Amino acid sequence: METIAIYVTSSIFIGVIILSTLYYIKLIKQRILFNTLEHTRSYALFLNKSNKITKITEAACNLLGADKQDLENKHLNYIFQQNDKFIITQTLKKVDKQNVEILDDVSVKTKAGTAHVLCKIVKLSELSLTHDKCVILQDRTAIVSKTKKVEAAEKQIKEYAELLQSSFDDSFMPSILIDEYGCITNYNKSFHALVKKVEININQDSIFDILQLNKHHFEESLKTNKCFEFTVKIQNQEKNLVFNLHKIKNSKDKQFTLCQIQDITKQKQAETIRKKLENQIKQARKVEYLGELAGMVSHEFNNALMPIISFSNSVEKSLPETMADEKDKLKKVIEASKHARDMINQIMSIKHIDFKETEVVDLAELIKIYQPKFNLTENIELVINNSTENATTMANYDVLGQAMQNVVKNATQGIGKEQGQIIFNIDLANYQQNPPHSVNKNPIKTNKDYYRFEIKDTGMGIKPEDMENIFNPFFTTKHFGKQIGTGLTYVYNCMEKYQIPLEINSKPDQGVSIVAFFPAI
Amino acid sequence: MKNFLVIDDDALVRESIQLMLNDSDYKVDLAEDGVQGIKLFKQNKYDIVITDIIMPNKEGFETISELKSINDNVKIIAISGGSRNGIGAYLPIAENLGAKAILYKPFDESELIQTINAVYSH
Repeated sequence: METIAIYVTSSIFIGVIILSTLYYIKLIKQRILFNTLEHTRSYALFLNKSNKITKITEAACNLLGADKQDLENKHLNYIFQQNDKFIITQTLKKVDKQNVEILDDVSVKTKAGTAHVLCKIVKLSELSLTHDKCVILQDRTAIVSKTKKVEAAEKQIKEYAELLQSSFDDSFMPSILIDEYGCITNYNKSFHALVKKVEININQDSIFDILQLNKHHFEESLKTNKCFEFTVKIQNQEKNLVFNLHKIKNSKDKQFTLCQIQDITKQKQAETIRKKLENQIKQARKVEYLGELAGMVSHEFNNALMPIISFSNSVEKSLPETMADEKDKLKKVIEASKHARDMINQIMSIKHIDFKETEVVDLAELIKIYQPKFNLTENIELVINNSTENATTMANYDVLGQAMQNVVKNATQGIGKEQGQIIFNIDLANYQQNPPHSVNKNPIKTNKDYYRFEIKDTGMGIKPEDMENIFNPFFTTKHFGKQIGTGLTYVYNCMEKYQIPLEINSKPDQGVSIVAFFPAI
Repeated sequence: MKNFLVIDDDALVRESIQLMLNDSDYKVDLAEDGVQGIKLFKQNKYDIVITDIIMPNKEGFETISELKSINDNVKIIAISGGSRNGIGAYLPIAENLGAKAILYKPFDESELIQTINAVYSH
């Protein structure tokens, strides 16, 4: 019995010693662990079974901006921001089962506001005495902040890239990206529309093929990197394009050229029309001034001719028949004076067509009346072709007669001494589409009956460079003094007055054809 | 006897017309502008007035209007050598103002006599 008692007592004593030793070993280990964490300036906390803070390192206190006394005995949740409290609670439960959990990017309260931390919660199974869990925090504020900044910057870059892409796609200005070889790597809708929506193969088709550009010219211009203008053909239509070039690099440092294209075709056309109109205005002013000058001169000239004609006539009549020579000379004086009068009248008719009453004019009758006044020489044959009956229009016999005489006179001079013909053609015409082009302001309308009145000759014709001037006053290809160059001006003004379309065609050595389109009545 | 008043600023033109009307049945008075012409018209009786349009002091349109206001039945023949400003439509205007006939210079005797006869027969 005593032995058993001693044995039991000894066992109990040994057991107590062992347990005590184990207890103290655990305490020491805890202490060592804590001291290590403290020494290494870790942000660490120990929690008890109720998850309340039992110990906290100095560094953690500094991070959280609070004293140990303020934090000890507080639930772990206390140090976290409201948003994360729930997840911390859930994580603590998980740790009870799984011994360790790591939470990334939770927010703890600090004096400055918030710190983003990585939170590692470990169950101290072995050391589980007064402390149940160890919480280690890693301050990721700076990293998170940087990451967020980087993310924000990346987002901004992405948005910017999208904006640029959208601007590129939706820009009204045709734009393309080309590589160093001129190969198209991107194009926008406006460019596609510019090239009339032909198929473009990205990274295959070159700008030189699509726009039929001269490669050498383009590359030379590319070197200067300035704006330059090219005339290109797009589906047989000529276009004037201005290229604005910008060299750019992509993220992989590869060089591209952004070509923004301005289609200035309409501007150029408008500029051409403007210049043409300016020339017309200049010409009109010239005619105006010439008309004024002619008016001044004609008045004085005509006044001077009066006594010449009058006195010459009087003297001629008073001379006896025996002085036939002297009478003849005076008659020539009178004739020359009247010729001078006619020249003056011709000059005056540049601008002003004498007002004559509009009347029904029978075109065949018109030719018949004025035929004796054509004064054709023997080498010129007159041919009249009339496929109509009663071709009549509203104009004036005298005015049209004068115009016709002027054209015939020009035709006669064009034929000269050679054998030739002056041909009159009168036909009925009605154009369903593509009517001939009128040289004056009166267009030839479709679906309208006209009497096509043509005077054609087989003379020397008109040179192409002279065609645009033939209706201008004082323009003449004849020797100065032979012709003052107002005949066709009268014809032009006459047709303008009666709103009659006028067509002219001629080639050197192929004669001249002048056609008036008289509205049929 | 027919009395004529010729109003023109050009002496040679006046003389020419006077020569053309050199007939025992015609008496011709001359005036060098509208002012003198109106003065003579008020003093004497004329069958026909031949007046130029472009004259100094009083030009043709004003002269014609004044002659008509003095005697609405006056027979006027307007003459002109053309316009100084290139418009050239003066004589038809003279017709609208009351001239019975118009003549473009230079005209000869036969044209003048023909016009005078036409004015008389109207």
